[in-house]
Amino acid sequence: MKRNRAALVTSVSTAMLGAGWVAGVVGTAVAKQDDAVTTTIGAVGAPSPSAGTSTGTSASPSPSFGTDPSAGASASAPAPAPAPAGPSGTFDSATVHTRYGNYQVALTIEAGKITTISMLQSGASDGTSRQIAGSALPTLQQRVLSAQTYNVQGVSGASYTSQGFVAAVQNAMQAAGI
Amino acid sequence: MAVDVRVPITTDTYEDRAETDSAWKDTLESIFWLTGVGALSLMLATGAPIGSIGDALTTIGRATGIVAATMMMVQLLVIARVPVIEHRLGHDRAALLHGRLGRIGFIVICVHVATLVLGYGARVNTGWWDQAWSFALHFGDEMTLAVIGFWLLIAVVATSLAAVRTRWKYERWHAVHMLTYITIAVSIPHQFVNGTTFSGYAFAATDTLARWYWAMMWTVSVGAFLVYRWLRPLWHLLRHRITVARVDRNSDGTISVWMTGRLLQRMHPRAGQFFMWRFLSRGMWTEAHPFSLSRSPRGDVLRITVKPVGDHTAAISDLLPGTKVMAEGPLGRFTAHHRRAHGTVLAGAGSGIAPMVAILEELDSSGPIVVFLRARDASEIPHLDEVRELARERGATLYLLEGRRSTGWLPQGQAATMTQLVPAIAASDVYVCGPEEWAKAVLDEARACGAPEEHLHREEFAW
Repeated sequence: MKRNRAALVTSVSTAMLGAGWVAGVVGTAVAKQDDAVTTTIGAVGAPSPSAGTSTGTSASPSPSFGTDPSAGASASAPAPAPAPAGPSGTFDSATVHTRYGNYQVALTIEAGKITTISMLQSGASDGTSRQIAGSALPTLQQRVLSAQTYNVQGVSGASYTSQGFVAAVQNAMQAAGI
Repeated sequence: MAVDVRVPITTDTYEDRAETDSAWKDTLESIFWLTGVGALSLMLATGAPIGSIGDALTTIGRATGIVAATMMMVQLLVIARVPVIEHRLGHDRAALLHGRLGRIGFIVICVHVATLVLGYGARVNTGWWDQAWSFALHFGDEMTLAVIGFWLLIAVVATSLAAVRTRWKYERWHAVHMLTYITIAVSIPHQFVNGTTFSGYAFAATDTLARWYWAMMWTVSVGAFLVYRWLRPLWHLLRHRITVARVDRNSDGTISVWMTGRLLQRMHPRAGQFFMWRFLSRGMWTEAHPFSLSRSPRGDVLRITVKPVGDHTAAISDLLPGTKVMAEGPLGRFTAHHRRAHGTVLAGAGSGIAPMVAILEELDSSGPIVVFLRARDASEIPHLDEVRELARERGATLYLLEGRRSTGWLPQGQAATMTQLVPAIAASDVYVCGPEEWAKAVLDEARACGAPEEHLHREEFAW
């Protein structure tokens, strides 16, 4: 191949790979930014301090990442302030979208303490995602239960699962008001 | 006023042609390359974490999978006998690329499998053995198919290596080689279902693009293969109705098969090219063999000249007139159209003499022509009378290189440089067809005597 043509092909290749890499990085950044938005907007699963029954119905999976503002507003507006002892009940998170599927958790909370984390949605259903999630989720659940915070270390090799799970727990904890 | 009636020197045209040719070749090779780069770029766009060992190995595994699949696509495309590739890249170069990609591709596939097994194993804390079984059994039917395909591929490669070592018949090797099509076919589903880049989970806009891109690439490569390798020969059979007209047994022991058909010029055959011939008679229709035209194709008549060396070639002498023929082609860039210089040197030996007869017939006497025919004895040269007649008409110099085999380009006991026999060697095209060692010796001699690389033409009968 002639030198100038080879140079052209090389630069086009570099540009294509560079564009792909940037798209990958920006794509990840967008996902993280959406997490932050969730944090500030807050509750989809409205806290129900009155009783220990599930409020899961209000947390129907939203079609896009984040929360549905209207649903959030209508659900959270009439909610009274939580009891001083800390909320009790079951709180569903909003659906968190990641590249490897959707994550949604239900937290069972007794007097402000998380006792159970069950998965309503645990990632995509293909073999790849199932294996990664199946291996990482028990670890993540254990970490959250023992630390009582969503701010736990992710599982290496399962970065998307960790992100999705943590964001869902964070969302549900905010819904519970703890 | 004096009018300049000199014929313009045609060298410029040859240079233009060479330039166009090299531009086409570079364009095709660049397209193949950028196809793979595009797929890798889309993979990067889906996020390629390298934070932990497991992540890094997985990313390498994903990338090598895409590279290997792109190589398979290019392999299909270059062996599909697509006219533009045959014409511009050349059949031998395409076949060479096919083989080279196959050898590299196998290694890349092994890396793909190894890194993903180890990478997933590291990510979910299973051993590589359990992880390998997990891939085979618990990742869905598509992945199970792909794992079976991988083991089949290993079996094919092992058999091919054994076949080369024990000098199998080509037909047997080819039958085993056909199994690689199955391995390609069973590997496609897992790319779309388990391949993160193409599995179609539309998280970002590039994901949809990636899926369509990949589907299109496979459609083009598999489609081209089916159309040009399967449908086109059938179409030619129906349209051109090539049949055996006459079978001659020549005095030198070769067999000439004359064939006629309809609208044969619409196939654009050129002297020096070959076809893959499949004679539709009992016991022969399963095999297609490459033979060059041994006569410039004019009108609706084609002739090939075959030396009976194997079962198939021996059976050709028993062909009956009227036998239908499937012809894939024309193939090869070994034609007078690809001349780059004023003079021409034709060097043929054994079965490589046949195309030289055809090319000589197509040349005019505008430039010096030298013909070398190599044989143990002149009585073993096919169509020698024809060559003598053509050489006389075109003012060509004919050298019969008779004698025992030596390491050089001349028979044992003879010594001369090509410059002595071809004074215009530096301004001549050199066409060589014959046994590999001898052809190499001729080309080396031509190079040593100053013939530039772009003037050298060699028919490899690669298929």
